[in-house]
Amino acid sequence: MVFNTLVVDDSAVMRKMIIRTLHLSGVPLGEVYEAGNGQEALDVMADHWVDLALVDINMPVMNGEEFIQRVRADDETRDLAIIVVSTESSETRINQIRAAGADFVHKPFTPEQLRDTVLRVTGVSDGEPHDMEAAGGGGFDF
Amino acid sequence: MTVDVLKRGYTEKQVAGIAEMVLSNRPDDLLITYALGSCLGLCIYDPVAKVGGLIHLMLPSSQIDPGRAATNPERFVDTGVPLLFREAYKLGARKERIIAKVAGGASMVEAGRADSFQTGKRNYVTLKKLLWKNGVFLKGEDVGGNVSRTISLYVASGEVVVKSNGESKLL
Amino acid sequence: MENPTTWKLREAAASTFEQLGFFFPDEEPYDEQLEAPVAAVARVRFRGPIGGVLELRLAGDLLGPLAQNMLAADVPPDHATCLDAFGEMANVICGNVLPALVGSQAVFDLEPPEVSTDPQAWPRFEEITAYAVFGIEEGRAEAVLHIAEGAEVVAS
Repeated sequence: MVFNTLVVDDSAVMRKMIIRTLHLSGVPLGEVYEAGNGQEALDVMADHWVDLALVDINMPVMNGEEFIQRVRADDETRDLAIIVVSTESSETRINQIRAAGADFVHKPFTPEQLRDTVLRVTGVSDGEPHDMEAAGGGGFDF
Repeated sequence: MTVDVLKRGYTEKQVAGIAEMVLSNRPDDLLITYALGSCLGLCIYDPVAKVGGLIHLMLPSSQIDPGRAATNPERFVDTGVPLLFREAYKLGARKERIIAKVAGGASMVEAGRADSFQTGKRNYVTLKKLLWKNGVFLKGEDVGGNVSRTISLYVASGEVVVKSNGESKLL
Repeated sequence: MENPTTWKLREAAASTFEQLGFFFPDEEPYDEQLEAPVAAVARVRFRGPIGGVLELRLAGDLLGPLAQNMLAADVPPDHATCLDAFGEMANVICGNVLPALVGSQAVFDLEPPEVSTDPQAWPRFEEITAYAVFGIEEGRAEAVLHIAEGAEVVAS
């Protein structure tokens, strides 16, 4: 089992931080797609199978809430595992996110907080070899 | 969780003094460092090779005293942490298996006086940056506050125990 | 005694610089840090029970190191990526400070951050609701909150 993963955030730097954490978490990743907003994410999903999506809320064109509604309304995609990664702090909105069957990680997050949620959602047990090389970033000092 | 440290078995106690580190692949060893105030005690452990290491880090950056960093790299987070990992590799540890846990980084101030240098927090932020850069997550941490802590690592099991205010807990 | 709005802005900015930027935010900046020239400004407009702008200013040579820290890179990335990293910091600070001010039930919409390297890119606010400054490495960060509408609902 590998997880084809879609990372949706209007910040390219944030997308790379999330992808680095995924690789280091030991989650077996298949294809990793990126999208800058909800509409781009739907376009990716029209062409590619995705198992896991990490989604911001406040984005231009189509925000994360609408993206989740559209995904849940479509028989093809309704079971997608979704983790919202957002600065959102409104309980009202967080409750709506959870009611839509998505998990939630609050920005700013520590790499450990994001890893713990990703492992729980994917059901991957910790301790599997980490994909150090694929994580991007610079070289290691140790 | 409170644990009775005395019931856990070890025969040799390896003590890391201030700005020192200890490493071991002997299952009978307990690695320990005392009196962590603003200092950080970082434990690393490879559960397959059964190799453990513990370092008592005092200050965030070696840039303030490169001369001292050359003779005592264990003193600084930015020079001590890479050294700890490299020495553990020599004993057979592999980076992708390493479990890292940290304690300390407290704000140690006398009553009524501000902790203007915030050494504990600086140490912690420097450690987090270094670990992110090098692709290492913390599996456990007990940091901040204003208590003194003792951290110990059982080489046989990899269990890490933090003691503060007379209470022991598994990290 | 610092007013609660300033304290909440300070908390949101400090934790964002620590956790996302891997920088230690020094709440007592020294003279050289305070004198560093502003290198970039980011603005995030928000609407909800209160409306206004969160501005983040970065002074000194920090734009490259910030993006480098976030990306775990060996060297600073290209300029556009540095600006993106800085804009995301402003976005996260803004998203954290607003519910702290008016309660966790409130819902806000944040516009995408606008970023400029021109310190005069936007006219100055006529009124500043809260201001926080931190020393970071050899430079500093300033967070400025301007509430244009609904300031009366902010709990004090």
